[in-house]
Amino acid sequence: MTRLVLLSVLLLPTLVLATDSWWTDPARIALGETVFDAKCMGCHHPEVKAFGPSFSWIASRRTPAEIYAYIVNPATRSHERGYASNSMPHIPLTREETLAVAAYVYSFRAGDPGNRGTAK
Amino acid sequence: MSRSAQSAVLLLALIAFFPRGAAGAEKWGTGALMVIVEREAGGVTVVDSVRHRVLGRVGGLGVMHHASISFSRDARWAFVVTRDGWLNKVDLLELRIENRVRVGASTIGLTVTQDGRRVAVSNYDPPDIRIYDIESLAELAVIPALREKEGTTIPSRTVGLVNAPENLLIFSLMDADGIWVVDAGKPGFPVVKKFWDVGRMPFDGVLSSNGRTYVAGFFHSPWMARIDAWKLDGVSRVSLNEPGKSYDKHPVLKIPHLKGWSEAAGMIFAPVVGEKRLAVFGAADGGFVRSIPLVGTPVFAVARPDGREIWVNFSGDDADTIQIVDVESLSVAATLKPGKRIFHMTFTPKGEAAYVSANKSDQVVVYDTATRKELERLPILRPSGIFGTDRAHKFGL
Repeated sequence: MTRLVLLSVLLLPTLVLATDSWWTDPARIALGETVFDAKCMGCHHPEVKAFGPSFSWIASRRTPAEIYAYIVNPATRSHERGYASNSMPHIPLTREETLAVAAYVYSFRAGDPGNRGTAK
Repeated sequence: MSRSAQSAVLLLALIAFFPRGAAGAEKWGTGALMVIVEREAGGVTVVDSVRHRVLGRVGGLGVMHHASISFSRDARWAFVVTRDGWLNKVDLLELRIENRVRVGASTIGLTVTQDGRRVAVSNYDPPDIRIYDIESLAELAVIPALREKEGTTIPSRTVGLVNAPENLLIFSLMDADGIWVVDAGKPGFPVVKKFWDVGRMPFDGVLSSNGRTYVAGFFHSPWMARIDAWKLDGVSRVSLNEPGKSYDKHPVLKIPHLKGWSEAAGMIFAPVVGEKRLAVFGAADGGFVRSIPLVGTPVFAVARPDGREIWVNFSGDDADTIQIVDVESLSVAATLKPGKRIFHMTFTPKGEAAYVSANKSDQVVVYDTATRKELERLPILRPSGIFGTDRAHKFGL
């Protein structure tokens, strides 16, 4: 029983990620905005290149699952992509917070009816 | 009422209450104004820092995240550069935009040349420095920040732009590990020096108060780079670490900033990236003095004008805190909790008062620096950077 519970917990993000459109949940995006404001706004802006890339740039090049994976382990993902160095720290977030931030980032993709990343 | 609706109501109240312009009405001097960035409201609030009262605001400037401000030599005009690349010339007597031009897609800083004739901006995107006529804002030069290395062209974001004596401009190249020097007094604004491999990923630079030493900080190297602006004959390194000592690393949620006068009593007080301390070293010789442990990872370390204290703010969980370092003892003397998310601190020209932006409290808190008691709480929507017009008369800013 314990093994079953453990397996479920470990597989939860995978199951969520495998669910279509988890990134479109408005409540999840709203939570993502809150987490962004607390943890990410020092280096990122949703629409303008800052110390980190803009969310609109990220969202136009990465899937929601890729964005999630990058937040979880930026050093490894950066190395896999062949970047010269990594400047993004691993920020301790819960699984739901990580999903929420990924959904919030992805909401800035262009050409989506739900997109809010219009240029100012 | 939702948070965004509350912010909108507060903004409308501020706009209604404070005049946009002052033509024909009250007059004021510009020598001791504080121009305060409204991070989410696209404008600035202008404050009389003698009487600690709001004079008015100017809106419609652009995306004000990390907006930066420099001043004409007579402190009549504020030059406000925005994150989305607008350079605004703001009239500090009439409180209105005099002129504005698009200078980039993502702009991080600016400075006015020593002779007061040009304003230069540093861009993330495009990767360049641009120079403008200060009267007309006509574009005079574009200096691409590029490095040719092993057959590859590396474009670079530019940071740490300062004005220096002899009409020099000095800046760092974040993605190319370089520091360049431009002669803004010569036709064509030539790049007269390029220093490479100065350290990994410079994130900011500062000029000593006498204009002689440019210091750059690095995101990935445990030292700072120093350039003698008189000689321009090379780069020396200043270690941020005491020999034989290791330090705990913490997530960097906000990059430290070096500008803001972290120089006092002949020492530079440097916020260390990802560490809970200031590194102190000699401004003249670069000799390491000591580390000062702090409660969190520092963002700004700002020296009081008389050099007796350094006020430090933080990112992350300690963002509501200011620690005051006593320069004589090189230790923390006091802790303040002005409000939620402290973004910046600036002293009045002679340092009798300190202005502190409490971003999530929608207030700028004014302190008496002798007693550390609050003098005022000014209602300002999401304040961040606070720029005093006395910067018009200082090297580097």
